Amino acid sequence: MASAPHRGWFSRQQQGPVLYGAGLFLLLLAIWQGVVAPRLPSRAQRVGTRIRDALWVEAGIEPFTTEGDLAQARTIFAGDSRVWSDSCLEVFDEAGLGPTALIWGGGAKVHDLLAAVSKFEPQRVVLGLSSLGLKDSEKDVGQVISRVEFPDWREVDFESRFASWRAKRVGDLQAAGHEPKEYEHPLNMLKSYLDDARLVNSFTPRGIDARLARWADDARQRRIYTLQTDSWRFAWFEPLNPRKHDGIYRNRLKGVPQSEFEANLQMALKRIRALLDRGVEVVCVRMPVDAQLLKIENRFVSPELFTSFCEAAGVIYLDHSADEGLETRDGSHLTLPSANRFSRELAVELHDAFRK
Amino acid sequence: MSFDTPTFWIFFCVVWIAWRYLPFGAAKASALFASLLFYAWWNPWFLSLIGLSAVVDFQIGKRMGEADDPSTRQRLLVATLLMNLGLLAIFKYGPFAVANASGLAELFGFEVDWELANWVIPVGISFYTFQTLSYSIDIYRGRLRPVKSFRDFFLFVSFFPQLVAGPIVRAGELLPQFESRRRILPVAVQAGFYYVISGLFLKIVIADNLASHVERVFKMSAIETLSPTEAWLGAIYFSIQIFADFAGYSGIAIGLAYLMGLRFPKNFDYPYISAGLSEFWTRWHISLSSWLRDYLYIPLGGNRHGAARMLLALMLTMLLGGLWHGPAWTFVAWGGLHGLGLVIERALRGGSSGQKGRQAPKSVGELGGRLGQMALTYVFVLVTWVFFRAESFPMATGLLERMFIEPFRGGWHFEHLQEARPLVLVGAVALLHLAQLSHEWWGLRKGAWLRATVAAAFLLLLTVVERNATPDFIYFQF
Repeated sequence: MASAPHRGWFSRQQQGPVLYGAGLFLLLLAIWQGVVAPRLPSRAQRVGTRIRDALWVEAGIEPFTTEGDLAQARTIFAGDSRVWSDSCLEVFDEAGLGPTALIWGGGAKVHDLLAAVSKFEPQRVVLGLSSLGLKDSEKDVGQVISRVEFPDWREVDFESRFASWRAKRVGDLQAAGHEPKEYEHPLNMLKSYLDDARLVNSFTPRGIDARLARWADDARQRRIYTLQTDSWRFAWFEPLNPRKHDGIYRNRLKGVPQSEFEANLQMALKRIRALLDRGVEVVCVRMPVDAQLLKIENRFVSPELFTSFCEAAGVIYLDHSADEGLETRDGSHLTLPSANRFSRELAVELHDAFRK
Repeated sequence: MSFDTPTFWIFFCVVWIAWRYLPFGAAKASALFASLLFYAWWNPWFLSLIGLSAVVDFQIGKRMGEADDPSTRQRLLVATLLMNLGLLAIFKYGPFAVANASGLAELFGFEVDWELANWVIPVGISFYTFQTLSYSIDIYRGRLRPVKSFRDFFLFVSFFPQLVAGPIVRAGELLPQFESRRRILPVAVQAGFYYVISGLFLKIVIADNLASHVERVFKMSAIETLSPTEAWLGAIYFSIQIFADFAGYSGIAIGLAYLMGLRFPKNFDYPYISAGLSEFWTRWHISLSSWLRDYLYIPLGGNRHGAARMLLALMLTMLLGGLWHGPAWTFVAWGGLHGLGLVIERALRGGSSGQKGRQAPKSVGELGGRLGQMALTYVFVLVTWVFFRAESFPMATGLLERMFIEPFRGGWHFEHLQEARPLVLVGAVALLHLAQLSHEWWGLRKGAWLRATVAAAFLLLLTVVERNATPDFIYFQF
């Protein structure tokens, strides 16, 4: 007797491999999450839970990344990537310092950060201090912002679109009688383009793509340990081990004249005083760092410089650079559990500091 | 809208439901609408060009089918050639032509500054113009009857899975599939999922993660500081990146077609196991190489008019094939090198195409010889990729110098071996090639269970490996 024809997508024979494949995938994922991932270094990159944006301070200066609503924030945290990785804003919010927001930039200069903060009206500012923050920035801004904040950059035709836009912009500015050189600085051009693009992209297909992609990525990263392969040198394949890689950090500070550190501190001093004059409370914090890196930093920038800077500014200085019991993932940035612990301790200290 | 975005997959789910459950005519109309929406997602202005191309070619095809007089048919063929190639020439090669004319004028002492600013090349123009040309030429040759429905024709021209990056599907392959609804067979759905998953793996995990390593090498400011190791690694990474990117996209397109009950031709067949350039071109971008063979090489005479004519036809075909890839002399050089290689290979093989590569070697000696040929072919192709990727001739020659001459001048240094870590991605692609070789030589079965295992592994890596969007500054700033 002939068997009844099978209705549905797969015959029993074909169901086997499909079910097997799906089951195998789920099993492998479970093994990854349960067995492999806990043994790998904690990720540095947080899953974005707050509004993220790029903040342009002025032409020629690398934009900062912001988290949270700066206009509404009562406490603004400002600093370099250590401040970003080590500060859990939710912890500070719960501790009564909120609403909080964050402005940060990779190796950002302290006085530039203060210029950014000055655009807002916080009651309190927590400023992260580090040696690299006193050194002039050297990054290619276009690369930084384009890759992180604007997925638009990843579009295959971005460069030709940007080139077209740029050519037109220069032409328009020249026609209006402006000296083109000042507008040809790639940072200025990129800023204006991305400001325009951001506005346009909000309601365009690219904007939809970008938002959906970000949502999907955030949802994935919250649930699954993901590998960041881009920086192979310092990513999970070989976490930055200060005992092996401190030469790179040393090179970044070597050759920087003391006068550059001091000049940048003077500019920062002026800006802190301007904030204090407005009634803003300021506390400076030196974030935790691995002992080996701290040794290098102290060799190039004396710890007394930070102390005397804060004294001259008339602000409280909390030095956590040598805190023990905290774990960094790469010598410089705390792991998430350590960042949580550190933030809770810092929150208590900041409460006391701001009451004084 | 790119295949590797969530937007596309939401779009595809809707399209698939409409394709599967609407009456066939309405299903085709919805697929056409979806294809035009897909195209407009890049830039709505592009629609006018593809629309113009489709309308004109449809009318020309219709008239060619009705005309009995050979001279009328010939005039119509010339008209379609002029229009399609003209559109390609203007929109893709316009700025290139103007820049070269400007350079030429300056050579003769004229001070000119011609430039076509604000020029945007319509996405996919190279692909769909070749598709419509194949339609017209096949009608002219009497191999195809003109399609009656403009909707079907426009769908053939604009069908979203292959519109932007191929494969170039011939009219004779796709149009018959639009005549009646085909059952979406379970085995096709299986194949479709496999192709899609493997395509996404190649694109997202392999190609995207190699991109930054390639960019670091192919930068004019970096060339002179590269060590031979870095130069070689950069070239190798690019060879894998371009394969993974292109084969990945094609794979996804083929998979999408399967999921809709359609069949697209294979476009890549593990090209880096080729034991010769002729074989390479039967494995790399197969839809383009076969198009060039049928519509350029053979009409130019092929191998029917003696060796000299054959070699000339081969060279011309490859030069134009190079130019098709992009408006730059480096692409022409890439094509020219392949042409030269093919010419030399044919001459050495006495005119035969040497297609023994897919048969298992019969002895150890033959195995050694075959492996040697594969290595030589790969190195030759690697050298040509340098021209393909480089932005200028100085960049290409500079990199080749670091690869081939610097080791003898400055010695071979291994201090940059940490740059070799992305070789794990290269290894993954090498493994796929090895599996294919095993299949061709020793009959390793690519059954459903093996594919399911591989797909599960690909899916895991797609889930846990992030795309290369992480900026350096997350790690390099303190």
